[in-house]
Amino acid sequence: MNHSASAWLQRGLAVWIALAVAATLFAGVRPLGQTAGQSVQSWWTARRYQQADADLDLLGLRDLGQRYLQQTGDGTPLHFAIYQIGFAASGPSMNRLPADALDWARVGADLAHESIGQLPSPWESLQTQAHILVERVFPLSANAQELDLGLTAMEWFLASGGGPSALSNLTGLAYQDYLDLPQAARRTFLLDRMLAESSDESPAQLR
Amino acid sequence: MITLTFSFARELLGRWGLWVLLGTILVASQASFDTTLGDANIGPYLAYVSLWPIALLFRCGWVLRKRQVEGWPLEEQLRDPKGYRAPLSEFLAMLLLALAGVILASVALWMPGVQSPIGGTGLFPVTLQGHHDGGWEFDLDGRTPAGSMLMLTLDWSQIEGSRKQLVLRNADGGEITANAGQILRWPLQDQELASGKVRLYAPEGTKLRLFKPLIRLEVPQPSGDRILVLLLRQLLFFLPLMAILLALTRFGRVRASLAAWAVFFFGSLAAYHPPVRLADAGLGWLAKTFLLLKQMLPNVEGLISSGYRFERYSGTTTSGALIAWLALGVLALLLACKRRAAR
Repeated sequence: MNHSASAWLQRGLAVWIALAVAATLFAGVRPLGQTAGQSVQSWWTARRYQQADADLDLLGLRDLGQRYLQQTGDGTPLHFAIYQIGFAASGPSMNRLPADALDWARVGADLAHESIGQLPSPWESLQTQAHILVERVFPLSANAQELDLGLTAMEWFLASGGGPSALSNLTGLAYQDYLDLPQAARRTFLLDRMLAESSDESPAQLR
Repeated sequence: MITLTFSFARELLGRWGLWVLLGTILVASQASFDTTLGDANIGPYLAYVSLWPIALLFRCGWVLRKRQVEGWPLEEQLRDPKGYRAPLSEFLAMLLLALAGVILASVALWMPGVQSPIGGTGLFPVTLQGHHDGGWEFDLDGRTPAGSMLMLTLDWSQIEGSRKQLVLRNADGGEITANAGQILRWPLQDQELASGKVRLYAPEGTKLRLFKPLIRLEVPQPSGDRILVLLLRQLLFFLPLMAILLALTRFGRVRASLAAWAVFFFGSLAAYHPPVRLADAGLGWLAKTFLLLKQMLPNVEGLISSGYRFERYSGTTTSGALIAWLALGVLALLLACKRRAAR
């Protein structure tokens, strides 16, 4: 390769680098090693999430759980935040005023509803959403729409058989029983089932 | 040539290189797999470890540039008339150091207080592209690893006659039985894996519906004992880049530090995975140009896949693509060894 060809090649490489830098900055091209930087950010988010959990900072849990989901695709912290905000924080043991408890429960239910499409494993969140709406929101608000939304979430949960990590096929069999019922009796079936579930344990542990 | 290889390796390492490597791997293993600090995910660890060969590329560019300035190429012509010993020894030195990184990164997982690695969540949301002729069309966002499955939650509540089983078909005539109260797992066929498009049809008139927000792609999660294989795949990704750096510097006679940057961005292009909607990128035309350029290269993004969602594209590189990528490296190495005329 003669000298002028080398000079042209060098200019060509310089143009290539300039274009690649522009593409990295403005067109979403990821340079090699960028995932290492993202992993450090996610690691730091996880540490802050642990701190927020220790401080009982519920809104911090929500924000950091959402950020962790965006950064890593892992929805476990967000699901825990949904449970803490929507179910635990509004429970009788927290001794909140009814309006305050209702606010927290609604925040948790909205968060669950918004995150269903983004969570890698949304089935557990459906169950949590259903219990928040039926057991926490509806008794305080007496809003039939919110009850319907909770029952719909439970119907979706039953239709999934409890999700891919379900320990038994009982949820799927319950959905088949649900389908055998006439339309008018289905709501009662879902309500009865949820009340039976909640008489034993918290929703996060139910399957 | 052994002497040349080790002397170049020593120069690449410099005074601090070995400590930088050990420190990086120690910090990476603690941040990833420590029982209190880490989340035991392989992906971030792969991302941290990939910094070593990247650093090697730049360091090699710096050392070659220094040698260019010091007049080494002229000296080499006198000492090595055939011209293959110096480039081969430089390539071997980089290979040895990158391999040392792989071995140390594997050994680090045997340290006390380290958790067993796991491979991510394995579940990814999927977009429903359309709903045509009683069928659903899904866009999986590119090539998908073998053994992946599409997970569908079906709504049977509107079906008449209390049917609890139905047969779904894809465009090629493949069939699967769906049961009420169970997630339908559709194992992706070769064509669907390659194209990232899936079409499924329910029997006509059944009123079977789909819970759209619950559509997920399940990809196989690489187990912790595969980490050495994953690290070696990373190494295979970097080998041709090292050879191209040498070819540009030696055969192309360009400034080595500039060549290192060019090769770095060439590697970024090979690992490029475009956003789902290119129009969302700030400079859409530039993203499209890069995508076009990437399509001319073998699909090797599965080799360098790292980070928290690494399992989504890990293992998507076919043997053919790998051979083509390595052949590119061999060609570059041959060019690097080609005897140049005196300046």
